[in-house]
Amino acid sequence: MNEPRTVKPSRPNGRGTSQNWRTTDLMVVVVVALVFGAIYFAWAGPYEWVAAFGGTPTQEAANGLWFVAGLLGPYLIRRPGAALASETLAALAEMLVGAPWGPSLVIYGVLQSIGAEATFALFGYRRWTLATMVIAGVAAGLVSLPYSWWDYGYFALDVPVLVTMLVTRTLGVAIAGILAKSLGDALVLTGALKDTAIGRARMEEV
Amino acid sequence: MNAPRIDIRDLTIRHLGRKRRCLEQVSLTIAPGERVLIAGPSGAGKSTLALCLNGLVPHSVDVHWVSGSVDISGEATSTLPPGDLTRRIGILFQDPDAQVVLSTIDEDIAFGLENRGIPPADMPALIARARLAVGLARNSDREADDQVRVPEQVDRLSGGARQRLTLAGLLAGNPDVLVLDEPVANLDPVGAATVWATVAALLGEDATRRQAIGRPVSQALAASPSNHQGTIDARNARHASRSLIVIEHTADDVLPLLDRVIVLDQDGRVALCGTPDDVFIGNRERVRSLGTRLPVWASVAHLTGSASLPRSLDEAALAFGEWTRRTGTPSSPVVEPEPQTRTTSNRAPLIGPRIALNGVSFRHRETDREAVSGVTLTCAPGELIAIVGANGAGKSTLGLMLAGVVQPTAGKVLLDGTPIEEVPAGDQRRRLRYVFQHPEHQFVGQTVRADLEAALRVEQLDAHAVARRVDDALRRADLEGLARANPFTLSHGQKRRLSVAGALLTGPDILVLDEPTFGQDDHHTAQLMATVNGRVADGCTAIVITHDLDLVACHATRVIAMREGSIIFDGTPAELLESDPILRSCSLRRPPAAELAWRARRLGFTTPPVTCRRDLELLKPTVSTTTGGTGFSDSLNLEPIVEPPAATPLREPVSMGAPPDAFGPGPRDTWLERRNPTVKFGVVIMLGFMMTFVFNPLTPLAWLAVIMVVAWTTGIRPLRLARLLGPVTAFAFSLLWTNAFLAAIPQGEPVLWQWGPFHLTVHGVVQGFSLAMRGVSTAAVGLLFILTTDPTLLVVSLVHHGRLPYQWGYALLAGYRFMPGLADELVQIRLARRVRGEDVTDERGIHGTWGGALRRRANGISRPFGELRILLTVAILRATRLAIAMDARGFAGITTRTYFRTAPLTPADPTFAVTSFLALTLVYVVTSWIAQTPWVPPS
Repeated sequence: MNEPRTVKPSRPNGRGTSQNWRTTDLMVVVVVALVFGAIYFAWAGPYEWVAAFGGTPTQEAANGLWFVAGLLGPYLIRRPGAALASETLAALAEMLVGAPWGPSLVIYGVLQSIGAEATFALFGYRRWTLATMVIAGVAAGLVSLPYSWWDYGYFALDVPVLVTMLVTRTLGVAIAGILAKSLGDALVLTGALKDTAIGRARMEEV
Repeated sequence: MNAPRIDIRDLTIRHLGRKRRCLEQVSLTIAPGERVLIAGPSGAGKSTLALCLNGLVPHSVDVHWVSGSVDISGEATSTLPPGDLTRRIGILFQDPDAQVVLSTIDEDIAFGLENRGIPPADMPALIARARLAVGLARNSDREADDQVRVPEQVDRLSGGARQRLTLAGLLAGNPDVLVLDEPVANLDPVGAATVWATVAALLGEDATRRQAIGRPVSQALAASPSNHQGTIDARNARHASRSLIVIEHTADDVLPLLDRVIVLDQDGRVALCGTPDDVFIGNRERVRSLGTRLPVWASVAHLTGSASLPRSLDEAALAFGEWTRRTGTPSSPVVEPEPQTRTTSNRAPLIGPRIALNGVSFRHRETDREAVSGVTLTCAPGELIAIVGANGAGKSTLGLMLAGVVQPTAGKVLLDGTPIEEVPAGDQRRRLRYVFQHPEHQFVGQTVRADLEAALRVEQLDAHAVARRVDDALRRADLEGLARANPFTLSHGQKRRLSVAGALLTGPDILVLDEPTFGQDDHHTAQLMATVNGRVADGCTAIVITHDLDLVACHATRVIAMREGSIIFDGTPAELLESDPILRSCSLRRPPAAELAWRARRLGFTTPPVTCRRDLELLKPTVSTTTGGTGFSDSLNLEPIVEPPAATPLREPVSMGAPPDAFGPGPRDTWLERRNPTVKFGVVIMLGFMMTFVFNPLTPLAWLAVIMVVAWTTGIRPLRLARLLGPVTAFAFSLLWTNAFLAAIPQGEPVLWQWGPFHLTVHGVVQGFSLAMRGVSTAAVGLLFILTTDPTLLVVSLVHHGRLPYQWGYALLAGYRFMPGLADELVQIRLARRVRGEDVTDERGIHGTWGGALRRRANGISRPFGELRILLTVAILRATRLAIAMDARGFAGITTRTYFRTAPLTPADPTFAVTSFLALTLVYVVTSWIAQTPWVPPS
């Protein structure tokens, strides 16, 4: 393992080519993932209580928050793979902090980012409107549904309950899309993102 | 190979999002081996210029490159590969926290070497040499009688030591050019002194090598076990003429090292360029008008009419002493231009003490550490009180209590005799103001103007009056052109000016400023202190927390020195500057002007009472400077130095807040720690998968028992593990309740109790209990994994055996290292926003109205959002700064990467994986079988 490893030379000034990640992009995604890892962990408590008093339909709506990192990361740096990385790393962080769902969270992380990643790819990583974000959120929510359906044993529930759950889940992830966009927009205004894609796109000269 | 020649031609640069240019037609040449100071007002583009030198602009930071070029040995930085540039030109930034990437000293130094593909076998020798050079040698490499103990964990190092660590990281890579961008701006005076002493020692070494090129390698190298002597010899020869570029506001500490001084002006043009003598003596007035601080030695040269600067402190002190004797300057005080700034005696006495602390203590709830213990203090109107002391001495906590921001855990704070908790919140906000050390925490507006307007909300003025006062404040803070900019986009100095301007807008009675002059140039410091002095003259009590003793000596009426939470000195600045024991015990250093006068007195001269730079500058030269200056060398021989001043070696505590056992037992090394981290990670994930197939409480309980036993074999007591699992367990059991009352009812299951949607069944309880236990045991295995795995090794192993791209691995490590600090940051953000009144609905009598209730509700919902926004902003700012520092250490443009540490796969690892799998499966099968047997008889 001591032998030098040759790696593909990275081109840090990959302006124009969206394939190359710069160190700044990596760090922004890592920060989003770690901060949301902590939030994801903290959300487990309220989530359980919401679920307890509102039943599975509200539980599905509350699920939405767990999709925000996978939508915010790509919204900020606008690069392929950002959704997958942000959401998976956030889930990994949540697991390592000690969330009760343990390693299964990593599976959820990957599954919950696939829909979003596919949506952004469909838009060529160029359109970042509210509609895009909502569609990405809904897609992410639907793609990851089968696994929770199996993991949580939803197959045992009545059909009307399942339909309600589908509706509330869609609402929850749509709101996650809106939340990610408004948080991203608020962050851009602070100027902290001037070295990222969204910062450059929104730059206003003073 | 020699240090490269750096040619900057006609360089004009504009930052993204700014109309104004940052550098304007800068043309410079830095010769190989030259030592240059770059000075200039804040915002003059000094740091941008530094980033251009090693190609971070344009490779890592985007700017509008309007025109010009930067050539390194004739090749443009824009075409050279970034890895090549950062290898040859090393840069040290201000903030140690934004530069340290990994968690131990060796790993962090190795980071830069790894990025350059240095063979791992060479690293230990290079690291040891770099550590020795900056005074952070391993404890085992030290002489037995050396008192210094260096903790290996970066988090335990003090600020100065961390900055020296970053310097060691640069030196290990042996750059040809060393760029230091305000390397001591964030350090206390003693920390700063150790950094400069290290730099001076390095250059001293360079200088001797300069004369001895071709001679055999130094001792340190001869001792190294490396068999790559040839390459090191080559590097060593190059080392011989290393160039140095320093960016600083205050030139005093680096003056003896310099060949040349370059001063930029406000517009980013080169205003002055020449030898230190030319610039600081010949262009004295111009330097001043550019807002650059004149070094004390230059003032001495000016007084004595010398055309050259003194070469050492003793020389300067002797010359100053000689000058006072020759001119017979009376020992009476210097003419005071504005006496009211120094004393309150000539004013009508103001009534009563304004704020009093009575046996006040503050204990941190989490750490149970007393930050302030038993302080009794009375502050009168019209006082300007400075609080000084080492980092962590409790200065900020004391200030926060004086401003009523935090309540003491013991004792009373009295505002005009009333306990502060009984003063109405509105009065408190009007009368008390606190300006935080990190201005970013306190910004509430989206633009500079909006932020200032927010400060005036308490006053309930009409729009016209608000606009007038905000305009006035913008002008005073020199931020007129930036009224529409977002506060976060300002430079460090501008941010601070904005936060102070906001606090001064409302005319508070008590004003507490935490480090108000950090990163300010001379001009803005003077302006800021003039404003504060104006308030003080009107009867305000100003309390300034600072490391800048020159500022203290110049402006404060009273100074309080703190150490370990107690006040150890309370008197005038002059008294403090005379007391060596107190200065030493507070990690303080006499500022240059006071040091000069003190040394002159030690040499037997009677000097005028000079305590700060301004005192010195107010003295009038009596020898005409036009008579053709004589050098110091002539006047020096008049008299030998009577008594060489006792040189007390500066010793900054290397570690901070370290418990005694921090240096004790080395890293744990048990059988579980020796397993390959990737294999362990695989086992954790495997257990997680198996967990999703568990629907009885017995299996997770049995697994938990297995985990506890395994933990025990590695020396982690089950009780400790249980304690660490406490919070998770509490939370997991909320799962029990929800499932017990809400689980679906299987066919034929009796319902024990029902109310609305809630129903209690035995099945539900069992289900809930098994889910809760699932949570606890997955958390337990995760915890055991964290406790027995070195994060750096995990990443190295995942890169080698798990196909993790190294970029992600190191980004994660860097992020992981600074995340814990964000929790403290959130506490600060909450405090700062409370001070700015963000969580109080404004007081226009809207309480009790529908609108008011709605607005309060909206406020309650938006507050977490606002906090999250600021937390993410601060985190992203830190992360992007760290990203640039990582690129500066060769992280961008890697061609070949090596690894200092390795996590080898041994035959024991597959055995471990298979054994774990079999054992866990066995437990699963047996417990599931037991759980299947009907233990609850169907009714």
